[in-house]
Amino acid sequence: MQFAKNMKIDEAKKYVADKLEVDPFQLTEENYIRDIRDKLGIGIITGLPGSAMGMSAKMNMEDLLGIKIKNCEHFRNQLKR
Amino acid sequence: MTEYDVRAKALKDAVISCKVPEILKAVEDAKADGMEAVPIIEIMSEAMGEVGVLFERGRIFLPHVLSAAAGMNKTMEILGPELKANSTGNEKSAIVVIGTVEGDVHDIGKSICSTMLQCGGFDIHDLGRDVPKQLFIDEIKNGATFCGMSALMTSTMMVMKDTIDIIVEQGLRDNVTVMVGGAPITQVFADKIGADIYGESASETTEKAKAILNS
Amino acid sequence: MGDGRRVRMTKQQIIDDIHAGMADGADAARVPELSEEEMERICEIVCDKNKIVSVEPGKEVVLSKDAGTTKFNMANNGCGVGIPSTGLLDGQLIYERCFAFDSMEFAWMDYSIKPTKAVIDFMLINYEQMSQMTTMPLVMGAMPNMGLYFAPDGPHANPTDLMREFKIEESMAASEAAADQLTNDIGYICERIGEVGCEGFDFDTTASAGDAEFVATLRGIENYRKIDPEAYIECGMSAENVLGIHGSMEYDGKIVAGMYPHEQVKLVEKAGANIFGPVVNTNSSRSFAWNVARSAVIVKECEKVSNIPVHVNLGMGVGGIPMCELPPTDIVGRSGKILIEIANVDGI
Repeated sequence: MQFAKNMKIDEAKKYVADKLEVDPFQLTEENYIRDIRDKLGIGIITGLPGSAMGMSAKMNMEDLLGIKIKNCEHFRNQLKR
Repeated sequence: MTEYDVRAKALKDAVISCKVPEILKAVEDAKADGMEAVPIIEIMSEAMGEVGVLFERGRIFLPHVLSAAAGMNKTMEILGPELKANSTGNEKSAIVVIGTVEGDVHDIGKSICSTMLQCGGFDIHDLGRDVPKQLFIDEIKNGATFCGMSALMTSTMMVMKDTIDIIVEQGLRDNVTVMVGGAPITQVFADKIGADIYGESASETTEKAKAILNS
Repeated sequence: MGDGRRVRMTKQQIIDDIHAGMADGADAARVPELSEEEMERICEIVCDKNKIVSVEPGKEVVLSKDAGTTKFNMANNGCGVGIPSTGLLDGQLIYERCFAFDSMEFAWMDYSIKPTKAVIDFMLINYEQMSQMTTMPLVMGAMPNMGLYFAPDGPHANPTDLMREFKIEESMAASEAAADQLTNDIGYICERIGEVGCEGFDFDTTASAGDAEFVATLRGIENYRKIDPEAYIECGMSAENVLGIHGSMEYDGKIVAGMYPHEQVKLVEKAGANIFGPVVNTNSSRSFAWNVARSAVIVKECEKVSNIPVHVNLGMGVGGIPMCELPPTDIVGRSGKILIEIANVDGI
């Protein structure tokens, strides 16, 4: 959100927290936010087979945050179906 | 203010303006008023010191400093015959060899220092960057009495010590004043490796070099 | 100390150094001084008895990165850890999943615009595949490093050499010509990276060759923003003030020579960047307390006037960190905490 919308840190945290339906304070509660991230498919830091990561996680992030991520757009443009 | 003070201030302001035409006009006016060459040069040299301070504070920049120095040089040409006639033979100059040490390619700070030393009246032999140690030694053997080394990396600063060790080994240590500088360099480091001068800035290095030359 | 040596100081000496460093920074940058409360808080943090010092929960900020993963493979005069087999993708995933970085950069090992141009196809094909595996924002990056456009590495005469010969106009012309070439090269790279959906570009250590390089980079950013309105653009500086090698280069009608971070950021914003990285240089002869207070007062004003996020440069020789290859852990934590709490930075 800093990159996409030039948000300062507190504004960016609030924006993301609202989208994740958590309190900004909870964004850095490691285990709590890991479960949220896994549930929403936006990528977790540890290796969990089947959990969204990379392109799939970023595409889910686009929908959640209401932004377009350039390499996701590039990926979609390469699909032939 | 006396007439002398007025003329001295005009000379000083002209140098600090860093504009060659203004400097030359101030010199012509001072001469027309009967001021002699030596006091003119002394006043202007003092003003060059202030130019150095303004540069260090970021109020003026390198081209301005060079412009002021160009004005000084032209003044020296104009006053040359009179200075020579009054010469006591005690005016000193010196050859400075300067460069960024071997393995280091940073040279902006070294170039600024080189320029300030030149403005300070030294004859500069700037070897550039990534300079092999032997080139410093060769220049010292050829008459350089000041050796300036710059390093911007903690890994290359030790090359300064190696170079000083070679200077000592070859019996040249008493012939040369060693100056060191650069971001990782401190007075503690300079003392540890046996350097004579550590300059935190180009101006400070120049002042210290001039002090040693004139002592 | 600023050179990494550990020294003993009394609390009063630390307080005195904080005051002195702060005053020096405020005077140099011509910015408002810190309050007594802020300086007392800096002293508390500096004097914290713990080795690891960090922010309170909720005050965390995000990280951006320069030089990509080049530090894994490199052992450049003590910079880098020299693990030669680290793959390009592996390196990015290590930063994302082991170091928990919030964003990363993919950079060529010869980390400047001019050499990156020569290997751009290699960069593109690798970025395209990496970006399918990484989750964090991933930009490409390089240093503008305009010094490579001057002799002996480039086609233009070296301005400082010309100045020593009192060829001032020729010196300025050489700077201007090199600046134009750099802006063109930035344009070429930024056009090409769009072919693979690259999220953006980080212009690192901007203005290392002085004011002409700063202007060249700002023009490059402006052009990049025009061709890609959505690009993520970072611009980090190389020094706390812009060296006036040319002396008269302007951007947006302002002479850039001598500008400090609070002035630099307004031009970077104007050019169209999203994130600005100010630098405050460490004085290796002064104490950490002196250096970090100086950093705080300069960066605080930058953050205050900026409309874009500010990610302060915190690393060897900048942001209060000593000029040594292994920055002491206790110092890094304290610097970060002080710059977050006092200077209110949005990231590091």
